[in-house]
Amino acid sequence: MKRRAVITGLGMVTPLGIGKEETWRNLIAGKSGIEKISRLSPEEVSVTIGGEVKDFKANHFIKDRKALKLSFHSVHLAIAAAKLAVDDAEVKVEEINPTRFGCFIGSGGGGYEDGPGFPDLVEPLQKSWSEEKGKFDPVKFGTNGITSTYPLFLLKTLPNNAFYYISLFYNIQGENDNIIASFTGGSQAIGDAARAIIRGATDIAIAGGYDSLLLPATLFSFNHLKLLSKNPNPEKACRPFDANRDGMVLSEGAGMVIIEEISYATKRGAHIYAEILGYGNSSSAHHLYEPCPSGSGINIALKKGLNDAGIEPSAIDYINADGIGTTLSDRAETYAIKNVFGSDAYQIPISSTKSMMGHLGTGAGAAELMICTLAMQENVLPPTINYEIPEPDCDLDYVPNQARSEEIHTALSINQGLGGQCTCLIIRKVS
Amino acid sequence: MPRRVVITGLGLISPLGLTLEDNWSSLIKGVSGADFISSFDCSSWKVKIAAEIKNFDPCCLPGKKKSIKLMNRDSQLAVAATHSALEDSRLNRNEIEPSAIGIAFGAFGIQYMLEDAYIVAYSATGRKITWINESEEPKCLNPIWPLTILPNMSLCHIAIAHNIQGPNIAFCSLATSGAQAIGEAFKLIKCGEADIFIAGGCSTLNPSYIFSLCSSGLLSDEKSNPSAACRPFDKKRSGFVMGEGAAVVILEELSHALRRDAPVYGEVIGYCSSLQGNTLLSEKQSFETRVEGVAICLKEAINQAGINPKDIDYINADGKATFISDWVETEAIKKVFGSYAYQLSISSTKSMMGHLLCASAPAEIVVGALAIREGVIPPTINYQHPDPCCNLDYTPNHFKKREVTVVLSHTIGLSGENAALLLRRFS
Repeated sequence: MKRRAVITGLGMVTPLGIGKEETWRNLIAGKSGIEKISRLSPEEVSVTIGGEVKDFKANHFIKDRKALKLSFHSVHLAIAAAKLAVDDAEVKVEEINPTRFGCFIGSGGGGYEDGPGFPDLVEPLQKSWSEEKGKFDPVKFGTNGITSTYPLFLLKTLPNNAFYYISLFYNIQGENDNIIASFTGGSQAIGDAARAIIRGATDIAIAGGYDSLLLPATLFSFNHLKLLSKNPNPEKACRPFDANRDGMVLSEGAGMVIIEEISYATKRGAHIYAEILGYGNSSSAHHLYEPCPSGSGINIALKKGLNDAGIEPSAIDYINADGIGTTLSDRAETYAIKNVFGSDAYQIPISSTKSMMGHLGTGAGAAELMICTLAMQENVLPPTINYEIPEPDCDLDYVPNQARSEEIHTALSINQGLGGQCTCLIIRKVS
Repeated sequence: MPRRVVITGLGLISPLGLTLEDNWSSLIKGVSGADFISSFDCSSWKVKIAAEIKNFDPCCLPGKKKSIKLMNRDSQLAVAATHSALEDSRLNRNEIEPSAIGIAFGAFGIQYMLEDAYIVAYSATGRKITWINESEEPKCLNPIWPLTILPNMSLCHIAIAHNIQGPNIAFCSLATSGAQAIGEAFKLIKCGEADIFIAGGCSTLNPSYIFSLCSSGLLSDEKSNPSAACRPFDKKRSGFVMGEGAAVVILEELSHALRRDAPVYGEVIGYCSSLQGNTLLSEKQSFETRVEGVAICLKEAINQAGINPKDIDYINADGKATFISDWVETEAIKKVFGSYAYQLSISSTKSMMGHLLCASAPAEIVVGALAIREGVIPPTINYQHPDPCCNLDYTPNHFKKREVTVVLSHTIGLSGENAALLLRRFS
């Protein structure tokens, strides 16, 4: 019999809450998680709004003090999400055969959070500054800097840091991957995990992504590239598909799911949320940070995903769109959806939960797939908030402002990243 | 019938040359690419030697000139190597859907320069630097900086420059990531995800990594004679020499390749990647555990290929020239091959190229493919003082003619990862 991959545990840490209950409650209430960024001062960065994870206490989730010290905030979020997912799946880790337990993590390229180990480098780098040349001097670094460098700083910077700790804490020795992608990493990890389960390489896996985009360098850079919203009102800033949208809002967060082979899950009496039915992955090959106007990357990913799932486009009941809130990207995405779904596009409710959470970076794909899962379970569609003025180019049903009750059997989540990477994941109710 | 995967194009940019031909002729001549570091002033550093690529001009890259500015050196090398691999494969791009080609690429962790690190580190402490006043030199960061340091960017740039719209995946496990990229692409083609994959890896010299690898004691301590610095399997080996480069192979489903009458270098027949343990600082592991870890990986790859260990003629070894790693590798080979180990031809081309990190495994696959084609085993140079612990045939100092049917290319990562790929002459 064909092996099937099902989702049995959800763990998310987002600006809307820690854990699925809080996040979901806020999502359907149409609440925004975007606020003034509390940990950066306006003197440092001209961008002042973002989606911070509130009241997060890393030591609540991580007991190992060395692990806390040797990892960054975003990795703490990832470990917390993994713990929430494992708890939610009510799985007894000690009963799993470690070599049949997989780990698939998407990361955005490591902690370049506060810089890659940069706090540890501040002092050595300061000692390497040449006043005469007005710049960093490698010769001075060799004489004065190296001696005062924290020897383990490099470990923190590794992009597979979260992967390492998660596999260590849960004794995971099976099939694994640490996928690096800007923004699509989480969905790629989940797609690959589902495939590994289907082809029999593993029976159960932790999969997901994490990121923090609220770093001075990232905010500065995205702002400079004119990708961010200039709206001073935090709650109103992210307006996907609205005519007055003017850019993204950056956030932080993590999402991890437990995926199992269906018979493995039924045998242990697990609660099954949904089956992962299809996965599509492509590249738009257009530009580093501008979307392809025709939405060709999404187009290909959608077709591949539907083909992989073996279903017709009309079978999709709900789309959680990428909907980042920039003029060009939302338009291209709408265009691609129309291209693939034809006239059905107008019948399918679409929402961008980024309107409330902001962009979780590499955590987005995983968190948004979980939102699809919850929407399916509750038969409620989360809204796209701040949708006030329609635009002719974006004329689909974006579930504006109010959550809506609707029966959902099959849902689709779309993600795009910098550099043109695109993914889609399709999930279906298991009856 | 199971789908088979062949290599139909090679691209290699290394310290030994910018083209396949240059690389191969340096390899069989036994030329070393190591030299004194010229890209930054390292006069006060402990490490002074590295294998740098000279004369690489990013301006000749295909694609828009503007996008070259958005690339770091890693991506530039990757795009250039992809270009030569695609040319070498004689793929007619007009006949192939951009979405039918996938990319799997291994890249380093985030690539930052210390100058930039200074600016970011300074700001992270909330001191002085503001991100508002962009004109205040020198404390201003290039706004695209966060985009240039991301490890998946080489992949994105390849996609953009060569219009590749198929599935894509970036790997980031340092030394083994290039091998994983090829291995996973091999699996993806087998399961029908795409017919063609661009797979490989790239790495450049980065002062901060030179510094940290040096503090881990992995780099050669040679001070005066660059070309003798990297001495794999030699008794006086003291570590590797950092190198930079990019290597790309075009993997293609067999019938697709035959239909278009493509040049076939060889067939990928087996792949295994494994972790031998759960510690970040693998130096602490016992010798036996490490040998066992490498041996498991080699055995599994051979099993998957469904061949007899005696079918293998040539091992392009990891041979990174650190005291312990070469010994572990030798023991593992003996464990897997028994008495046949002494009849194998083994060489470490790192003795000439330096350690290309993420590009090392793909570069070594390229070398393996060429060895099959030419019937020549490239040498391990600087092999002068035999070590009783390492007593196999390492093809010392001079190339050797030998008919090669199956090549095993093997990589040991810096923290316990292993990867092995098997390539067979196609007939």
